[in-house]
Amino acid sequence: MSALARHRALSRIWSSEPGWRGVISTVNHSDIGRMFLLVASLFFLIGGVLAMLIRTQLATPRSAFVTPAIYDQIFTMHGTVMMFLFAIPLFEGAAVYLLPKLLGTRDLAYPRLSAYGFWCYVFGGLMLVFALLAGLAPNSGWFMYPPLSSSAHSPGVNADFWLIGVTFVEVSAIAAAVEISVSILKFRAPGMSLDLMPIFAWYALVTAFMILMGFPPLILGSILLELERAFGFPFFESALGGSPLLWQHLFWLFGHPEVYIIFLPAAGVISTVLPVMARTTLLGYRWVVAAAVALAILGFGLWVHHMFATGIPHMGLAFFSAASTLVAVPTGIQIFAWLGTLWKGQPRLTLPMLYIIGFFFTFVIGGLTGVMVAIVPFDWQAHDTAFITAHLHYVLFGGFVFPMLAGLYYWLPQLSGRKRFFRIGEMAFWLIFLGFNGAFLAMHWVGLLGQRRRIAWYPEDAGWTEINLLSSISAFVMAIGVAMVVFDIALHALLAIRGSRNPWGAGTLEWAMPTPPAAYNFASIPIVGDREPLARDPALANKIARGEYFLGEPRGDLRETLTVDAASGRPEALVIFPGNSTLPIALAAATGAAFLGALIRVYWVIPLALLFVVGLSLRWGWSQRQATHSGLQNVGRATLLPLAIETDRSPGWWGSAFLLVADTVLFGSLFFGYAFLWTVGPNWPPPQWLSMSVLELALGLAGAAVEVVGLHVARRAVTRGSSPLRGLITGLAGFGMTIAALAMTLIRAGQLTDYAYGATIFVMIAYALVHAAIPAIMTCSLAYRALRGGSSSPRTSNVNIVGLWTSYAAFVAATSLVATQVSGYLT
Amino acid sequence: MKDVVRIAIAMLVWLALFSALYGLEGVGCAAGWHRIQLTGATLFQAAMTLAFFVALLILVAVLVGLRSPLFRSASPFIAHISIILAVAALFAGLWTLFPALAFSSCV
Repeated sequence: MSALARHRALSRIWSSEPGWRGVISTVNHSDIGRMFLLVASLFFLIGGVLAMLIRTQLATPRSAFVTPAIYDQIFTMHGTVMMFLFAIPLFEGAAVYLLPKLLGTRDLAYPRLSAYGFWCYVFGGLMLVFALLAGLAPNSGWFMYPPLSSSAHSPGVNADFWLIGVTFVEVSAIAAAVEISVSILKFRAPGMSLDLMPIFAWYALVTAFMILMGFPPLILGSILLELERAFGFPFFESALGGSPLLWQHLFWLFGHPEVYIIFLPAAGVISTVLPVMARTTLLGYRWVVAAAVALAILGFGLWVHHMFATGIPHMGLAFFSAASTLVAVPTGIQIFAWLGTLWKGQPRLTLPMLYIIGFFFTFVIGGLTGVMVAIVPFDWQAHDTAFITAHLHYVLFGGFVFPMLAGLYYWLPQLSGRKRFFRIGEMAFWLIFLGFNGAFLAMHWVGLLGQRRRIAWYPEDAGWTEINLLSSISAFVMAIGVAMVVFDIALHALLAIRGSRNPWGAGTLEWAMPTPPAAYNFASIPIVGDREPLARDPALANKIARGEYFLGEPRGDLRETLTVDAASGRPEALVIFPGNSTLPIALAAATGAAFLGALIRVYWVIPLALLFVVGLSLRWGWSQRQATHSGLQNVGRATLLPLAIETDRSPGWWGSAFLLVADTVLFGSLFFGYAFLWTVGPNWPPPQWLSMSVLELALGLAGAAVEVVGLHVARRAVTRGSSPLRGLITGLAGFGMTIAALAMTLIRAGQLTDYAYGATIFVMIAYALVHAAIPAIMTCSLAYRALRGGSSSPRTSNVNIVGLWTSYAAFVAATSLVATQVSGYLT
Repeated sequence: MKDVVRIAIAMLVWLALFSALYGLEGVGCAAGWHRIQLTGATLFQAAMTLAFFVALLILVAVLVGLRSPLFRSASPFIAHISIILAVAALFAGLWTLFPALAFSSCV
């Protein structure tokens, strides 16, 4: 087959549908990535307009530009949009678009999940935009502290829009994190062992793990606060055994890692772009990987440094102050690795390099002020002042926006296949750089003079007028710079001429393909033996196009790629991806309907929507594409591999495992909340404990054991090639016992609105019930497939996946029952 | 996937120990351990001091384990990174947990 014929055949197989239908049915990572990037950029512009409104208000004292009530909505939405609708989705978009190209594969692990995540993000974002336009936007600040955000002080739906809209968007982030983790570990070019991975993939992997561990505490906190607002469950009400500090813990357990979730991908961009601009390789690759991992995990040990002013004992303050200063070490290692890379290379002052220099300048200042606020006495002085706002902008704008703009201009020729020829980008850089530093250096200054953050006006005699005016003028200069970037990109898209394939002379695989990239990425999946395969073999792109590597011969209309061993990169299995589908958008709409039902408090909508979710999920699971025959498959280069679906550890199993990591963190956060109220919460113990029921405990624990055994028996049966029906029915009996025990405990949970104890028990048992129901439904589906037989019969991977969920459900049910039933005996 | 665990394990153990000592401080203060006198110290001080040394011992054990042939990765790259991070975790333990020895109780 000629290269052209191969290109035509693969394009037919992998392309999206034409027109608007292609937008809603595409599952291709390049399309989804571009859509993510576009929508995230639009939200950046919305957030930017809100920022300009803030600066207009603060430009003069006693400003009457907007009322304080509207101003509250503006600054809350500015933070919310920038954090949840711009920064994280922009990383997701960049990762979704770039990773398969960097890793040498044809798509991400779960193409439909990418699309589902994207549509959840869009629908959740639209909820918040609607709230903004309708004057119903959240107004309690982007971290929504109760009691300010509780129904007593924030009546109306403003806070509900935040809690429900943001949680919906977080579904998208969790989906992307699972997708990215599995893709990086299992979907790489053969031969690409962990030590040969592009550095951006390491950063994306670390970030994805951080999302899996960082987002669940906020999801839990949002659920608890919404339950309090909607039904009066008093989790955060001190008088009834709750504590507003519990929200702060849950929020910052997410909120501090969030800073690194935003910074690390940007650091990945720097580590990728800077060596190319310096015409060398990254200095200290291992140390940079180690520093990224250390920074990520240290980032989870800092959350209390946002709570230094809450009256925590000195020893606790010292723990977190010490941890906060420590993060400067891995950050410093990365900075010095980048400086060393510049030192050993031959840097050229291109536009991406300008933005990298801007990053160095601003981020180092942000890091140093970070060390200042890590010191408790200084933090007490600066807490809640404009100094903190300035610090976080230096870290986030300097540490994220500058690197991302460097990345935008670096990968623009890859994205468009065109050559940039206007010099608007350079002018835009200087406006952004000077405007940013003018705006936020001034903000440090006015903060040190005592200006609080989030104030709608200030008196004339405070001595802040000129500084605020300087800050506002500078902010508008920066906004003009951003507008020029948009203009530059629009001109590039409309007018620029075709460019060469690898204009920077980079060595990574995303440049070893035609630009703009074809839907299938690689005509054959290359074998990799170097961190910069294209630099090692400049003819690689042609060899890939000629089909000299794996899967060079398209088969029918199958979208095929390979999975590899996570550590060594040895080829393991053949994966057949699903084709274009409107299932993801339909499932996202059904999920959104459930969230909308909660928002408008029309609660009958929720079970109805969840029924659709379950139905569509089952259809999703059943509509996998199959090979024409089972057994070993020829993947080219005289290599036979099994189908991934016929292996013990299919991609679906790994995805479930990573999703359950996030789920376990959520469950752990719930336990943390229970323990926190117990030990630190005011007005504890409750007036009455839940009495222990031996029947409920015994039934629940026995049920948990039976369901695990049942699925184990089913797994063994499938492995032997016999019917798993007996094991599945045993498992279903176990689920029945567990669900009955949990339901009985739930009914006895007591007066849910009278005391936080009863409400906490209710949530814990309800969580266990939901997690018993999920594998029970999955088991029913497997049993139905086993009854139908033939090609519908469950495969090993199907039973293993349900087995994994069952084990987790059993663990949750047993732990929840024990923790709640014996609580009265632990005092 | 074992190599991924090898890379992350030492810092995760640090995180668990760090959280555990912070939790122990909360439990101790809530239970009034700082008011219970033992020989020359309060129960709170004794518990925190013991926890500090146990935490360091665990971090040393992780470092030794990752260097031992039993748990060491066959990949020199992974082995090197996991040992860097185990040393980092040990230093992180020393630096972030020393307040358990040095600071006053429950004020």
